[in-house]
Amino acid sequence: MTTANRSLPEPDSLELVAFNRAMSEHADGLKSFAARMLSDNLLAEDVTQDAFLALYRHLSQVPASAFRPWLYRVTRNLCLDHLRRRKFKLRLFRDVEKDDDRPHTPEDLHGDRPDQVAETREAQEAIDEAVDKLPPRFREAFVLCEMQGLSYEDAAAILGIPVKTVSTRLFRARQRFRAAVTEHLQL
Amino acid sequence: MSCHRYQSQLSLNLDGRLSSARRESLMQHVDSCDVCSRFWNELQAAQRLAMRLPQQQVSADFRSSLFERIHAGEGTPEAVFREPIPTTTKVRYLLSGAAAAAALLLVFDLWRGPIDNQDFNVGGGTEQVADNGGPGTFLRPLSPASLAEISAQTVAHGVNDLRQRQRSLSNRLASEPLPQLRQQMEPKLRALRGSAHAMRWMSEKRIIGMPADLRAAFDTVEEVVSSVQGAKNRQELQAALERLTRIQPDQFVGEVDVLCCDQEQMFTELFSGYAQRQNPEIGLVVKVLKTDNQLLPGQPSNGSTYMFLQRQTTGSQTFQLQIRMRHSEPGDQADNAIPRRLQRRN
Repeated sequence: MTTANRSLPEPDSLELVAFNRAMSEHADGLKSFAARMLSDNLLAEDVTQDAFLALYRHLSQVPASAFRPWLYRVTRNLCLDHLRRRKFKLRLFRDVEKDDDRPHTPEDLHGDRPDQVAETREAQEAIDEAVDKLPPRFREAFVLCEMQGLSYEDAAAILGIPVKTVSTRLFRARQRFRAAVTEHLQL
Repeated sequence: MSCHRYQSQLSLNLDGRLSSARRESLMQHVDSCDVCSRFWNELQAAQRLAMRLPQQQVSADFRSSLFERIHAGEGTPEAVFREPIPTTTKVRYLLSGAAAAAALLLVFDLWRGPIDNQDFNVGGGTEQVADNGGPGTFLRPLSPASLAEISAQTVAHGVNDLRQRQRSLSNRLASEPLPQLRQQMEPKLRALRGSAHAMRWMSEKRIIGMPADLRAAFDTVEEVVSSVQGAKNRQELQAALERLTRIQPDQFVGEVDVLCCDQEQMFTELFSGYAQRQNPEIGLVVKVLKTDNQLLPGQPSNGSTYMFLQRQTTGSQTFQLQIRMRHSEPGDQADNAIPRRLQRRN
């Protein structure tokens, strides 16, 4: 990871408070977003930290009300940069990472019957895969709006596209996702 | 309406984006259509599934390790703001780029004098505008990245075009009356100068960063075009044009880093600066309109000019910052005049 030092003023106490709050509120969401873009949970955490590092260095330039879309935009840029430079990764390691790093659902921890746990995990994997298989442009809109709960406007600002395009991509993502998880839907 | 159209409406409905009237009409259809009814139920169930997917969580030492990096003096990763904006000699003349560049030239050329009555909507989305690109031309969102890209392309294309027309320009210079030649060249020169100025302005404001040689190339264009426009006689004009045509288009090949992602910040600086100029011929009124078409107080000015662009906020409301350029006219009242076209558009 290359870095460039820019001489920017140190944040004041109010800015620090806002920064810490932003970390509490958005770090997990950003990591989730990055993980979906990169399919790599470890790298997603690094990228998330890079985003907050960048925010810290530019606190005087970013209003607190804009932290969230700013962070997502920066995270996206970092992810795209990694994807451009990515080397081939063996699927074997990806599977291992998934087992070790994937967060547990509440169902996993209930101590239910092993077959039920396995079935739940299988369903979750299928749903996970349905998201990961979405074309990148649809997946971005889906993750930001459907999973992270961002507004169309915020997603449009993050992705640098018109609001209407966000709504179109989200609709198409929903169509595909719905089709892929039909058997797991509880109507 | 086909079921596909209804289903796209259902997607909007899921996010509360429909008016109550439209929602009611949509639900009436859903109640009467098995296909759409099933789609609606599955859409909601799929959303519940997606929202229940577990979030990633940052590690327990995320905060401490971040501050370790901060205190170690680690700077901003270079890739953070990188939105590569390659500028090449093979510039295709896009209507959308030209229209936005025309708006850009107005933005940066306010002091130049009379401007034709033109409305520009340089916001994103699918709004149609009537501009010199013709009706139905879509303008790109003027984010810092796209503004830099449009400016750079305009300069590269403009310089390339002048080089290719060098011989015919020389012939015309020898034969045509100077005022006529100036008048014909003026729009292109203004676009060139305005775009080069835009790149310098954005660089000075740390909105973009670019290599020193690329910056110098834009500065040279701005300076030489100034000489062309300011030439007092045929000889001076000839000399300045020759300097301009000697600029190599491949000098504009490079990468521009976008340092400022905040569109609002950039345009607030830009327009507040011009609002203070108090040009007696051309003033600036910034009208902030809500999406429900109500006017909010804007920045005061002499009331004769408006410009349009779209601004997105992160709050619950979306504002459309609309501005239009035109001459001062007798009887103009600051802040009260609502152009009819503005009303119709919304």
